[in-house]
Amino acid sequence: MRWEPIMLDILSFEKVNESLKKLKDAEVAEDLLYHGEICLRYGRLPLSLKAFQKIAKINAENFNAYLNLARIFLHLKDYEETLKNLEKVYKIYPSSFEGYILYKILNERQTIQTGQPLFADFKTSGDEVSSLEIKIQLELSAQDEQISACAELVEKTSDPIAKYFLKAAKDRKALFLEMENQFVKLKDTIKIEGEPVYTEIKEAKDMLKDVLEEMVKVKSIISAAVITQGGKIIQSAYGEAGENQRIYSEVTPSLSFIDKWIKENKFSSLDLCVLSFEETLIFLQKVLKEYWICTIASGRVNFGAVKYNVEKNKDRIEDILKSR
Amino acid sequence: MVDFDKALESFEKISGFKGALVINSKGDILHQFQKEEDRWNAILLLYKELAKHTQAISRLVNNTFREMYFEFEDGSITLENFQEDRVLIITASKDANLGKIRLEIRKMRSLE
Repeated sequence: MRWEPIMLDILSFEKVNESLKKLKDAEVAEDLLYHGEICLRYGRLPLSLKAFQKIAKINAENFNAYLNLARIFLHLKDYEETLKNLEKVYKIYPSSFEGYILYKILNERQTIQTGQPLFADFKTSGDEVSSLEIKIQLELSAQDEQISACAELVEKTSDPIAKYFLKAAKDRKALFLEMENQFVKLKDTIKIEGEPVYTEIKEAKDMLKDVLEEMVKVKSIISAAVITQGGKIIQSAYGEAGENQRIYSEVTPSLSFIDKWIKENKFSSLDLCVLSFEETLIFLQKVLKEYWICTIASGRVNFGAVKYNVEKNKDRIEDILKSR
Repeated sequence: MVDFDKALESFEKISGFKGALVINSKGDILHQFQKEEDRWNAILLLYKELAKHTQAISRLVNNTFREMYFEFEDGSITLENFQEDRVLIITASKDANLGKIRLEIRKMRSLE
């Protein structure tokens, strides 16, 4: 359910509240924010106040509710409540412009409490706008049109703080532009250095699969895989005989044990390992320092033929793994 | 039946041959031909551990285990499974004549 601004302005808060019962909290808060801002714009302060108070009740972290409450209390010249709500805004969103105002206000708190508030300079009647309203219009998104519109408003006010906010907004806009330029430059850098690497990784996996699939095309070879020293299968390909995951799960602990055994007994590094059964051959060839090409062959297989097949593809696999 | 003592002597003249051992599946040394290998304890440890995995694979592929071959940077270890619970372990240097070693193993197998 969404509200028509004009309707919002004439509806009583109770009626609005009744309709909102059917909505979820987040939706209620969203609609109330809209409702409250419209009411505020049309000078319906009590309605607006109720709306923002309800938002704050639904979500105590909604800094927009407190910011608008501060605006309302400022209109109502209740400076203590203005301050309280600005404190909440500052706690939720310390890096906001409101945070800066609060800092300024806190420094002059004593002045406020003794009846000589900082807000005394604010003009809220007639066509003149308060510095806080200018600030609010410039908050978060200091767009060019908003800055131009506010500049016109600032011309009409004698409020020095309004002038300060306009300057701050212009500075912030300049800062945003600078940040945006930096970001664009950074994005270009990422594009140049980052994207090819990503493409290469993607290609590496596909290329590895291609090589392994080529290896299993040899009649006696039923499976080929690249596994890490720790036993993780990086890529595998299976021939017509199907998967051999269970064999790999027995082979990989052997590799881990051998690695530990070599270190403990000061043997030189293992380059090749063959486990031969009557009609099955498991051929493990080390590539680089941390990978193994594991080939499983079946039938009356010739050790030399399997070795030839692995050696033929070893360099290609090594190159692909290097590029990962 | 293989005469292991006699067979092991035939390895002596092969270049790069370092030593040979015949053990049973429990790891007891039954025959030994020592040339320059002195790391038998470590090699037996390797065999005992890997035998567990080869037995499991053997069940998976429904085949009898025959051989394990390890090629290190500076040499090799061959473990051959023979009948009557005998395992032949041969160690050789990097430049060993592996063809001749394999020929002798084949000769031994023909006597099984």
